[in-house]
Amino acid sequence: VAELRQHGMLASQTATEQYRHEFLVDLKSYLIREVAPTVERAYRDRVEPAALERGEVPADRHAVAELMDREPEFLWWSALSRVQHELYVDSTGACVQRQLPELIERYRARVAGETLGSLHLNTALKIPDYQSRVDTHCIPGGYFAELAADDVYVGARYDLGLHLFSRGQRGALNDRAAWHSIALLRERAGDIDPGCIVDMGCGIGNTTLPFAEAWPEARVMGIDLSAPALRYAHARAESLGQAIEFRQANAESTGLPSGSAEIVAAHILLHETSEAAVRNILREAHRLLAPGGWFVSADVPRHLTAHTPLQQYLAAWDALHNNEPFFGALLFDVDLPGLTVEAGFDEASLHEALTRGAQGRDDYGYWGFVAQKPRVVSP
Amino acid sequence: MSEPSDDRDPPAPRPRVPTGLRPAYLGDGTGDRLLYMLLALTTEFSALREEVEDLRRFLNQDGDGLARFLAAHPRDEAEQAAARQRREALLDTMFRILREDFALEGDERMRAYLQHMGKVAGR
Repeated sequence: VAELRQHGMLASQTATEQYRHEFLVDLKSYLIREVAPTVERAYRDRVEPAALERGEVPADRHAVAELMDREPEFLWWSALSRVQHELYVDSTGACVQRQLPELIERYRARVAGETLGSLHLNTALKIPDYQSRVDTHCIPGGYFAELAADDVYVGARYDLGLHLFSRGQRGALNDRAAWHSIALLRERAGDIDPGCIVDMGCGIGNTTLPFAEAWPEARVMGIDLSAPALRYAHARAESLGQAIEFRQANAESTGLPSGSAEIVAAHILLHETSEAAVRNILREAHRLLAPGGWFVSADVPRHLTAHTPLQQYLAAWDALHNNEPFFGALLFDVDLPGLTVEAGFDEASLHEALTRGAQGRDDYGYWGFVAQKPRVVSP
Repeated sequence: MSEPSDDRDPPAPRPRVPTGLRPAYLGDGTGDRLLYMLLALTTEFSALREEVEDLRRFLNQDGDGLARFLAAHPRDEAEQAAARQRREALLDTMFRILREDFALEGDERMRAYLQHMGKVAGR
């Protein structure tokens, strides 16, 4: 477990805030450890046997939902999980709001004058429905709350909140997913020397910076829909001494030139979009890549660690109950690597991998896949 | 290239209610609200408990320093006002869920919530 690495944009915690957050993170672990098993026991010992006696065989997570959605164990688990999440988001939000004027000034100071990287915002960008109609993860304001000019609230809360919530298991800079992608790329693509790398849905740039570290000669770009996250990302990258080009753009249609990148990456992105958007994003990645270039995705591995219909039902809880409406379908019903091939990538190059630790219940492993754009594209 | 703005207005309050209706798991939502209040209170209790531990560790460095300090420094008006504010803030944290939930339509919350999420997902 990594200590959060300090950088120039990181929000701090008072002792009281820290104690609140520690309690709420402990509460989450407690719920997973002590309360979730009561749901499993209720299903195994009472609900499933009764269904089987009636001649019903719950074949998938939807059938389990029909049986379990009004069972008291599930309702209590859901109520507790929801409240824990709301309190955690509100508490980390209050912590960041307390120091927001100072964080905004830090942003302004970081980006004034000569900078290593750059930030290009597009105020006319239309936010797609799958992001504008829900506040993803039940975080009020979603990725788009703007509380002041030059606001960085969204990014600052995300950076601090993610690290505390994961107990540092996502890396000292919340960047473990990107290092997993880089390892996958090196394993499959060999000793590549990319000229340009695009990180789609880069958010606060936590998954973008490792690419600049891994390939210091490359032009590294991070694109995202969220202006406040990108402002934070830009100042964060500057404070960490990395030259990144951040752009506000939709990963479905970036506006970047065709064939201009050797690597296109997407971290924890695809499951927060829709199936139609995933198809567009994969087609856009294919368009952006030069022949022989590589696409890499790292996402949550819940579909690989949930084997029974009950496990899948519980693993997809966030879809309906935590404002991630596409989560269940995209991880359990849609063949994302298959869509990559449909988008034009070479099937023979397609490779999936689970990170170490991803088999456990309460950890932060990643499910990654890479695919190469054919060197010669069929006419 | 984006340039910082000259606008120096203070930040607006952060949004505190996510899109969509809040699902009700425990009855008509009364149980959910009570649960929220209980856990909010417990969070504060836990944080305070840790602060007391810190103070205890600090004071133990100095023998009977706390008793001597309280005798010599009774709370003045400003400190008493600050304590009232802290109590108000704690109550505000506890009862926020009632204020927000009762501002929404009360009937068939769960059905409406699930319908909303289904619509967003295109189902």
